[in-house]
Amino acid sequence: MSFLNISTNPSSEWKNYEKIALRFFILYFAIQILPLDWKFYQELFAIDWLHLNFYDLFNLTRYTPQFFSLTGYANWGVALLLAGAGTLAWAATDHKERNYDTLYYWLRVALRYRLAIGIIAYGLIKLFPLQMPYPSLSNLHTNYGDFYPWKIYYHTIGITLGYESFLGAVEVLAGALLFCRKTVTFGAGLILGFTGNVLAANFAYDIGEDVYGSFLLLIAIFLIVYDVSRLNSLLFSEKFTIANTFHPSFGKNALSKTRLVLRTATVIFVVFLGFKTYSNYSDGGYKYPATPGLKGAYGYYNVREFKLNNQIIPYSNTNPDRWQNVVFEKWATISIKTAKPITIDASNPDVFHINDKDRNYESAGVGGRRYFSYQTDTIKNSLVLENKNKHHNEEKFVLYFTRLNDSTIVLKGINERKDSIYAVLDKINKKYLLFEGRRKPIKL
Amino acid sequence: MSQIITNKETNLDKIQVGPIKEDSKPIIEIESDVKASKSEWTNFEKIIFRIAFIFFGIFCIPWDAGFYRFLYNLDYAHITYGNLTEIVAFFNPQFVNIFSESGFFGWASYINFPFVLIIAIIGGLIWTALDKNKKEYNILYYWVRVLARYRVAYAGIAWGYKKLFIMQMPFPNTGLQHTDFIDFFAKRLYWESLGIAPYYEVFLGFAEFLAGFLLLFRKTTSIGAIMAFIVFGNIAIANHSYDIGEQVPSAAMAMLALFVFWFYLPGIYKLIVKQENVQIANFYPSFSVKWQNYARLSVKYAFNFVFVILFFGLEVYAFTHNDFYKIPNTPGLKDSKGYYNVTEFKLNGKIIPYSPNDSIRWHDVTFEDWSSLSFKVVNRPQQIQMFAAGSYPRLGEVYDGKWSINWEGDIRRFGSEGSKKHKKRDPAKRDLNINWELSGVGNERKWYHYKADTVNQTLYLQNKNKVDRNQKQVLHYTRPSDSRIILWGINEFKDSIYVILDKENSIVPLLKDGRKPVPEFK
Repeated sequence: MSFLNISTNPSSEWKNYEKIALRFFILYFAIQILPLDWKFYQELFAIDWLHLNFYDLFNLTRYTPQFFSLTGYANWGVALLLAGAGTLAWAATDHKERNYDTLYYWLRVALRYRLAIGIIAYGLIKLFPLQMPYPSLSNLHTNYGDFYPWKIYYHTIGITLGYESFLGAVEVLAGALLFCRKTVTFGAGLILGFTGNVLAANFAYDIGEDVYGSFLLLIAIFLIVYDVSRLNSLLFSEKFTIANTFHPSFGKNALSKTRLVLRTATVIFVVFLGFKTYSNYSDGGYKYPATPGLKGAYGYYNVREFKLNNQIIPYSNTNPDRWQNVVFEKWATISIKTAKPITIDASNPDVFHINDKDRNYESAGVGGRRYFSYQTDTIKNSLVLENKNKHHNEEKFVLYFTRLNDSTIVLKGINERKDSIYAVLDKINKKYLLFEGRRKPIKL
Repeated sequence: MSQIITNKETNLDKIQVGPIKEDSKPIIEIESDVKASKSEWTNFEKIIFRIAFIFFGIFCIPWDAGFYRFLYNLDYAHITYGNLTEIVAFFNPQFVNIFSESGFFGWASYINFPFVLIIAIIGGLIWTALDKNKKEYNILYYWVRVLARYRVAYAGIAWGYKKLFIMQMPFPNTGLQHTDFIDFFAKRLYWESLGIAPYYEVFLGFAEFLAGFLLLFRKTTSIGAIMAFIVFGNIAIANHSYDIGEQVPSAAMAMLALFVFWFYLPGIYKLIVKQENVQIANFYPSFSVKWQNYARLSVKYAFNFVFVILFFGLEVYAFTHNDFYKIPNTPGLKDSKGYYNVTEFKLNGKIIPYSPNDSIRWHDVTFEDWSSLSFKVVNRPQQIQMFAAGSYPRLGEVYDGKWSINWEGDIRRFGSEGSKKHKKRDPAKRDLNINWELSGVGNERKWYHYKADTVNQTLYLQNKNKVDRNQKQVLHYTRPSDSRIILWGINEFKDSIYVILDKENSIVPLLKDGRKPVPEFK
């Protein structure tokens, strides 16, 4: 079969059904990878090139077409139908003899570059650990059972940023191998193992990136098929094996120049993406808010005293009104633990928001605590709190703070129902197993 | 040493991308008989081989005296899946231990690799001096690869079974679900993250199993070896990242897998990267003498039967008979599983209100499917229980940087002569001794094993922490409703307590995932 390019000839024989299959694949993948969706250009032109954000570039790398606002695999179905119809039309209208080896070669080139850029973009956000940042202090003070599985998955990788970087380096390496014709099989093989594993995790942890992951995997499978029967012959059958016989040559014509331009553009894009990814990482990452929090307040606080409408409510882990403990993040987020039920924000883990209030990685996929973004007025000593969860965004506080000493904060104010709130917070300094118990026996 | 045959006369003309060249003709004539392997090795190849043979040979065979004592003392009539795991999962050569942080978790933990290499170099040089006329080592190379193949294969299958039967990472119990993320060891979090996704654990186990299984057959050795290299290599790196402490056995397996794969590497490189026609000359010894062949086959089938088939059967038996080595199997109080708020707590007759800072008054309580109870209190320090204890520093082992060299091998894992390790354990204490619930988890939750006397409605509780086994409680219980349990009696400090527990029925997000699909390109 010619897809496997087993032939002793420099050009191989293509059977009729193979020609039809190849035309189908060309059309199918063209629909999937060429930016034909007008929404792509909408995004492209919406980019503020003077203040280019890393995520604008990143998002371009994840392009897949979306038809009639369908979601997920349904778009694959539409592409299949279109490609099927196109194949029929092609067969009916075009009777010219073509060089199918060449067509196949160019299809593989397009897929190699598409896959390489896609996998490198995801590799970069792990190499510079942005995708799974270290868990926030609030999330650290949350019961294990209060997380959605995807959040556990992200945090488990997030607590060892070195491992995340290693995983990212593997992806970048796999992508780089695809740029070189002779190492495509190794790159595709790495991606089969790596992305196959990530895809399994996507299903197991309900991460929600499985459609795109499957697409990248599909390309990797298509690419590796080229060498599979050769490797089968060499390793399983232990036979004398004929190497690939197709060697493109580009001459010195326009084709060669176009090729040079496209290759250079790709390299520049990848290097630039890497640079922007790194600079986003060094600026603190895109998943957590950027505005710094109340100075010197970062910490985990016990609510020693709590009054609602001037009525003391004693310690309780069942009373929905009683604040149990409070976390001040390094950025402008406060989280409060109460016993009041929460409808969890079920957002996608890998989204980008410009505004701090919308950056909900810390509050998505997790219950237990209520998350508030806040604005500080250091003259009036006031904090204006807004619940970040779209299901609870009516919750608002206006609180005035006094700081009795380094570790005690008193908050006084009203909530959105004009109930008065009074809380005395004591910072808790204790040792935690996550930090202390890594390498030696320990008593805590 | 791995030999490949190439045909250099097949360099083809470059092909124009564009119109096809009509004059291109088939150029290659396939050689039909190129099976013979190399009959003479260079001196350098021979010296390297002798060293490699000793080095990798040492890594394939157990050298620990304790390992053989363990085999000798095994109860063969009642062999378990746990025994078989212990036989094949570890036993990398470990004569040297360095008592430092690096010696357990860093580079120094690999000290036995250069140590064995030195032995191999000395041995190889002596061998070279004694064996000057030998022309090639095709047979020995074959056999050392067979050893390495089976060594890695059985390890992969054993570790694979552990995950395929959801033994290695059980689902987080109710107590853990109500423990803060920050109160876990990093490595315990790694374990739990796999435990919450049993299908993913099975998937990973299948990858390990498949790598091992493919290594059992000549034809699939190459793919099995590269899979094993990637799987064990990744595990070794994860071990470093999460300070798990078992990086050395994993790295040793990855190294042996790479050694097996080495044979195929030049051929693959020539075929794919240099695009030359090639054949890998495999060497298979012929067994002309009948008894040799019978001996070979019977050893092979016996080992495969024990470490693949019997092992599988024992795993299935354990799986279907509720014998998971990390989970107690005495049933708990009927229908009690859950998380309970402590509605009222009396100490010596006096009501104590809830406070998050209290070290005596319980904050909350969990019951499991099995006979374990946990309650939360704070500010009561306790020794944290370890796991993966074979290579993790133990209580009393100090980082003094000293080297400990022992001819008996890995005595920390297999015990030294006269030690009690691998003596039969009292089956009645199985559940008390399983301390998985509290291993690598913060101390705020105190774990008790209990014996329930359902006639007199009494629980006899004993602290599961090894250093606090003397803490015992005797508590009577009544269950006025499905969701309420009242306990009263004498606590671990000989005080009388009276506790009203009310089950909380709120949803645990981890168990009920409400995520909706989100469009990806917006």
